[in-house]
Amino acid sequence: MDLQSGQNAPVGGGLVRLALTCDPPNQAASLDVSAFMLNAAGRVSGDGGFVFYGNPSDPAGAVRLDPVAATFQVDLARVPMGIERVVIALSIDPGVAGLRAFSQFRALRLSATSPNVDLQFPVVAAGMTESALIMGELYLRNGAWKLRALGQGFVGGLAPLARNYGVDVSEAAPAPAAAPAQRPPAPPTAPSRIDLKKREPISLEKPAKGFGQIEINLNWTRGQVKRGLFGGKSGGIDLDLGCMVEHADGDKDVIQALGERFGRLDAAPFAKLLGDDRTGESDSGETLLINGDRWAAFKRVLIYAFIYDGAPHWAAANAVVTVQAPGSPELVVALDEHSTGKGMCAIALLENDGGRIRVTKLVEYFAAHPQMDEAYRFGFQWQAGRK
Amino acid sequence: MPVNLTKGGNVSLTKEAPGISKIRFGLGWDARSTDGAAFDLDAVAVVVGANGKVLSQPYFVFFNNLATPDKSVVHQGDNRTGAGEGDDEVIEVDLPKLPAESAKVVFAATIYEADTRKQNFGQVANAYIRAVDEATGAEVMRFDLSEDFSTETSLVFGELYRREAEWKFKAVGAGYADGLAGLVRDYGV
Repeated sequence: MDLQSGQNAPVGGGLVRLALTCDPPNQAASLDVSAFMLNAAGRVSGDGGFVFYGNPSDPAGAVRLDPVAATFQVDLARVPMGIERVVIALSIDPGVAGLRAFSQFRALRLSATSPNVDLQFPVVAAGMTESALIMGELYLRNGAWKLRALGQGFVGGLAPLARNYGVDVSEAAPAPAAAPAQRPPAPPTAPSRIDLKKREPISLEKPAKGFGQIEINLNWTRGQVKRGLFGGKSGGIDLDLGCMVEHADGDKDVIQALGERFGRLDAAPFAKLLGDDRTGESDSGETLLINGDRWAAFKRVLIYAFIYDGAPHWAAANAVVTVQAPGSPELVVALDEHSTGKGMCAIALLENDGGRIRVTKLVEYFAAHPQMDEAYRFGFQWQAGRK
Repeated sequence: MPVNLTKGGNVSLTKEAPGISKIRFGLGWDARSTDGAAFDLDAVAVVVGANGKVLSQPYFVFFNNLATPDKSVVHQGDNRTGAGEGDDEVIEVDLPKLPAESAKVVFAATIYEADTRKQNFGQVANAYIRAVDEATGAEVMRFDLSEDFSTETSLVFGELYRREAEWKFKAVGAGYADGLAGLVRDYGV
């Protein structure tokens, strides 16, 4: 049975499985799920009533979270007296670069299943400005548990949602169990941004939740853009971002706007170029996404930029590429060496280093694709094309 | 002490507040605590005759028609967000001014633009209606709608009705899934 927001239905007794899924499914790693066990006053009472990846079960074992599968097993018979509602929330991991609202998803879904119950609550995410949602709540009504579908939330994320139930998420991280004297020295705080230098590659370790969506962004100074009477433009620099992909199985692909080879995330080549910024109006430049959950399929990715038309004034462009994997520091590759007369720049190489992502700064200039290909030995066949 | 009604229950306002003539009916609900489109709930009062239908179109009182021609039923105006202390919307009834052929006054609320905002009473908490004797300021009756609402977009809270010389109030708490249209259909505007 499909529910709509506000609608409710009985869930029976015993064990109920609540699953949270999203479309596109490969974005699941960028989402956090949590549950709030509430008393009659609508507050989380006592410790452990806020169930999340840092506290995957309440003390009674009534609500148990599998954070990887984003599912809760709720044993209704074990829910302590005084708990009248269990709120199920979905929020965007604040560590995911560029992901600020659910509008970047097509759809979200809460499903509640038990031997005799199959409740589905699909939520269309288009246009949603929220980054944390109350997907639904189990609640006690005349002695029986029901599920109400909601899909309502907060633009500001999990913090305002949790405050709604009396939980301060900044304090909700699990407290260290050991006494201070027995604790190992705290590791140095990881920097949030690293400026890559040539010949000093950095390897990104795979986080427990996987790499998620890796975002590669190219931004530059566009120079003087004059708007004509009819909105045309003249001058300015147009850089195109692209990559050459080599998979572990030997398959190779080129992803770039030229030739409309935008790629895809949910299937090979597991890399996708977002819309080409030819207007010079976007502040965000050009962005390439790599499905980090399929990093095992990759051997290497060569990130490059080229100047499709106009003079190759690399120095004036002040181009910068950032590589952001969720939970890892942002890697910055500045195009701080320039070339005149060459329209192509190999910027960075991402290599699969035993599951890690090794990122090497290149910033080497070539006349065009074939010369760069030859230097990095991908072995494509090249022909001229137009956008 | 006001009488707390439960669904289906009734109370004689004339007995609880002898001599009562002007009554403020306050309707309330909890505004949403989440972000997103605000809930704009509108109170509605319909003066119906013995046949259960509205006396005439001007006796359907809502945000576009704030009073009956005889001022027997006067809507105090629209509260657009449900924010603020106390009742969200107030409708005043002047009993002696009600036309002789009026059998009851039905109190309801509808959610404005419920379809486009995808809102319903399943998302609204703690709805109530209460009656206050204007002369004394005393609350005579209160009905907390504790029903487990779902996709209803309009809701009949209760009805004020005549039983011989008495004015009584009945707690209803029943909804329609099609908003104002459901009310219009049933009360024949």
